[in-house]
Formats: sequence, structure tokens, C-alpha cells
Amino acid sequence: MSAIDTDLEALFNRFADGIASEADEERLGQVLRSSAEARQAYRQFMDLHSALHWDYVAVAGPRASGERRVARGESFLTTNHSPLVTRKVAFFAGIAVATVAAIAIAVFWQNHSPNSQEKEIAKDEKSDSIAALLVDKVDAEFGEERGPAGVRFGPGEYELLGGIVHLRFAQGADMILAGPARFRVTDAQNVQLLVGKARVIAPSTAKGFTIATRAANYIDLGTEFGLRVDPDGSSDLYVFDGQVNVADPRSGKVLSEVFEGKSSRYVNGVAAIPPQLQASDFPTPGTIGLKRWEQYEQELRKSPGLISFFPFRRGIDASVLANGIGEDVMSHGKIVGARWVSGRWQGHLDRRRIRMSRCGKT
Amino acid sequence: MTVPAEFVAQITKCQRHLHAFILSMVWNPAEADDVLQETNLALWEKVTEFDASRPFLPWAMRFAQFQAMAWLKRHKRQRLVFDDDLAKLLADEAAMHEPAFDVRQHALASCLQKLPSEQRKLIARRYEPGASVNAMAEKAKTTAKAVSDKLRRIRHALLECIEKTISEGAFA
Repeated sequence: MSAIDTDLEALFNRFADGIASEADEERLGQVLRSSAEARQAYRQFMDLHSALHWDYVAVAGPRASGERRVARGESFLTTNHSPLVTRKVAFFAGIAVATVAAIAIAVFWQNHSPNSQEKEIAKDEKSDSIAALLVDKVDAEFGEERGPAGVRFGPGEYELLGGIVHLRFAQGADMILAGPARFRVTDAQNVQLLVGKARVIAPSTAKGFTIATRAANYIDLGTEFGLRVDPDGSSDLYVFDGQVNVADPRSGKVLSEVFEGKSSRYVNGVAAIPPQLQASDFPTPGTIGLKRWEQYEQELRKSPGLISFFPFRRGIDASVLANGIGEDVMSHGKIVGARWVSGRWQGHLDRRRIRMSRCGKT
Repeated sequence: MTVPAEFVAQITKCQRHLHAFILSMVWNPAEADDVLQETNLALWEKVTEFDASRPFLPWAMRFAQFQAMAWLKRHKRQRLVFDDDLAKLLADEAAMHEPAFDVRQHALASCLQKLPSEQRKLIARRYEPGASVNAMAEKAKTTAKAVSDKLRRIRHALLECIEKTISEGAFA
């Protein structure tokens, strides 16, 4: 980052922390009006500021009393309160999504049978406290009355019918879960996986994060592991990094310690021969990003004005960067000097030099 | 009132993006929460104008822009920074970068995992409800600037990590 960029970043930082001066305000107005680059840097800085608030506050914050009103559907549409009334209790960024859900619930309630009221109350009970936050998802579909309240997961049972979700628990553990899956959230450190596949990434703040299954309990010691629970209750563990202790679900006695690169299988508290497992068997946060990209790609390809699309996938001829929609308008690219490398998404190019030509020109 | 499911899906999907834009105008996250709620209400009141065939985010961003400006005027704040033209420019540019926004949010998740424990704790303290650098400084018996500088270094590391993650992973 250049000296000017560093200076700008320091300016943005003072605004984020509420210590900007009047001179700072004048300067910010000037740079935002005069420089697209500064606006981009400012937008990215504030995106980060927002994301940190969104993730940390929504998970870690105490539940404000007034928030229950919103979660219950006592929204702006069902009462005569000014929106400003609610601002006093809006501590969570996640509340915004809850508000949307609440408004939807309120409208739904007005238009449907009284029985639906009981269902919404049941949903509200589940969201009474927050154990985890939904930070990302793709194609996620939850069962009826078995989904989160907006982005919030309180204690209760959930059923993910399909798709992938990324949950962040209050003490820092991340769980990426692929549907179909059923799980029960107990609190910020304890989850019961009834069936499905999950990857857990737990920093030191989440040491002791435990996933219980019928066959065994898996206690994270600050690491990363994958867990698969079959419909018959048997569970398979693969440790990517660090150590996981496997404990008897009834006595709590540690049955085994599983380390990096090792796997285990338990059936009704008894060890069995583990299957061949590998890292790719379990979803990652990158899996969600890749699937989202694939969806975006599908949409992009439908664009009527599209003349070229380079998905950067290696073909038979490694020196050709294929135009994904064919060569009718624009030819394939010629790769000059760059080499194919492996990244998080396999088989992409480094971006040193890629030459493309159109209408006979290079 | 019949509410299109697509409307609910779209308004839910764009919450983070709207919040980030609003925050760029009001700076205080809790106040941005309030403006976001008011934006949601305004959007909901205009649900009959919802057109599923048109991009949702630019439409919603316009509501966020008006609500943020109204909030600033009500609170007589930041008259030195924003006017209607600049607010519109920021809103337009934010809407244009929707795909990049999603990619960066995704990268941030992995970058947070890489932060040392002490830095994670500092970030958590900064962003807990009602927190301020002044209060943090008082508790730590230091200055607000010193706390803010620490936070700046962490934010800088996260921004760099996001860039690195995107260049190495998504587009390498």
C-alpha cells in the first residue's frame, strides 16, 4: 500500500472508530468527490467495518428485551409505533434480517388461519437466545419450522433439506454443513449432529466445542475436522488439523484421541474400521463461494449481449484460454507466459500474461 | 396483501450489502442498524412496485440512500461530507459491485480465522453492543487513538488478507 493509501486508510479508520475531527470530515468529502479509487478503498473499508459488526455483534451480543417484539412479528406493520421506537433496541445487525422475516411473518399471520400463530410462537421459542449466526449459505433450504430465525440459530432442532450453510458460533467455532442434515443446537459450544456431513473449524477461543452424535461425542481441541453421521447413527471422523477427542456419549469417558490426517469410525460407542475419507468429502467455506460463482456463471452466460466469457478452465490445449460461449464473435485467448496453477479452486491460471485477439487483432 | 416470495428472498439477501452502504454514510454500526430497519420498512411499503424482472439491489440501494440522507439531516450530521450527489454516486457504485462484495465477504470469513487470538478478542470487544474506542481506552488506561491504531492494524491485515485470498484462491 502506498503512503497515500495508508494515509487514507488511517482517515477511514478514524471514522469507523468515531474519533474523526471536523477537518477529517472535510477531507473525506473532498477525496470521495475527487477520486474513484478513494471511493473504492472507502467502500471496501466500510464493507469490512460492517461485516465485523454484523458477524461479531449478532453472535456475541446480549439479546435486547425489545428485540422479542420484532422477532414475534410485532413489527412496524402490526403496530402504530414509529420505526424510531425500535432503534433503541436495535443492537444487532442481524436484527435487520429478523425484521424482514418478522414482517413477512406478520403479513402471513394476517392472511392465514389462527393455527399458524402457534407455529410462529414455536419458532420464536427456538430463537429465544442466540448460539450461532448464519454467515453464508448457498441453495440452502430448511424444513418447515426447522430453520433459523433470519440469520440466527438459537437452541433447537434444525433440518437442512439441501444446500450448504456456514454457521459461526458465539465462541468462534465455524461449522459448514451440507444438506441433507439434521442437527440440534444446544448452545454456543454444543451441537448434536443427528445426520449429515459437517466441517468444523474451531479457533482456540472455541476449544472444547463439541459435536454429539448417537455413536460418540467429538470434542474439538482447537482444530479442524470433518464429521459424517449416517442415518443409522454411526459416525465417521476425519481430522484435518490438530486433535479431536472422541468420548463415550453416555459416560463422557475419552475413547480415543484422533490427530491430524487420521480418521475414526464409531457405532454405538464402539470403534469400527474407518472408511477412506479425505478433505474433499467435507464442505468448506470455499465450497459455498465456488457454488455461488457457478450460479453467477450460469446467469452470466444467459446475458444476450455477451460476446466472450472466460471461465479460466484448463482444456486439452493448455496454451488456449477458451472462450466459454464459443468463437462466433470473439476468439479464444492465447496464453503467453502464464502457467496453470492450483488454487483453492483447482486448475486456474496465474494472471501474468494472457493475450486475446478479436477480429484478427492481437 | 400478497407478498411475493421473491421479494422476501431478495430483501433478505441484500441486507449485508445495504448495511455496508448505510454504514459508509453514518459510520456508527448501531445507527446503521436503525437506518437499515427504516430502509426495510420503506421497501416493504413499496412492495407493490417490486418488479422481479429488474435487478433488486440498485432499487433497494436507492431507498437506503434516501433513508441515510434523511437520517443525516434529522440528526444534523456530516453536512461536511455528504450531499445528495455524492450519496447517489456511492449508492450506484456499491450496487455495481455486488458480485465483488459477495466474494470479499466470503474471503473475510477465512481471514478472520487466521487472526491471532489477541486480535480476534480486540475486534470482538470493539464490536460488542455499545462498545466504543473511548470506553476501551479508558478501561485499558490508554488513549482512544492508541486503541484505534491497534484496530487499524488489524483491519489493514484483514483487508490485505482479503485481497490475497481472492487473488490466490478465486481468481488465481
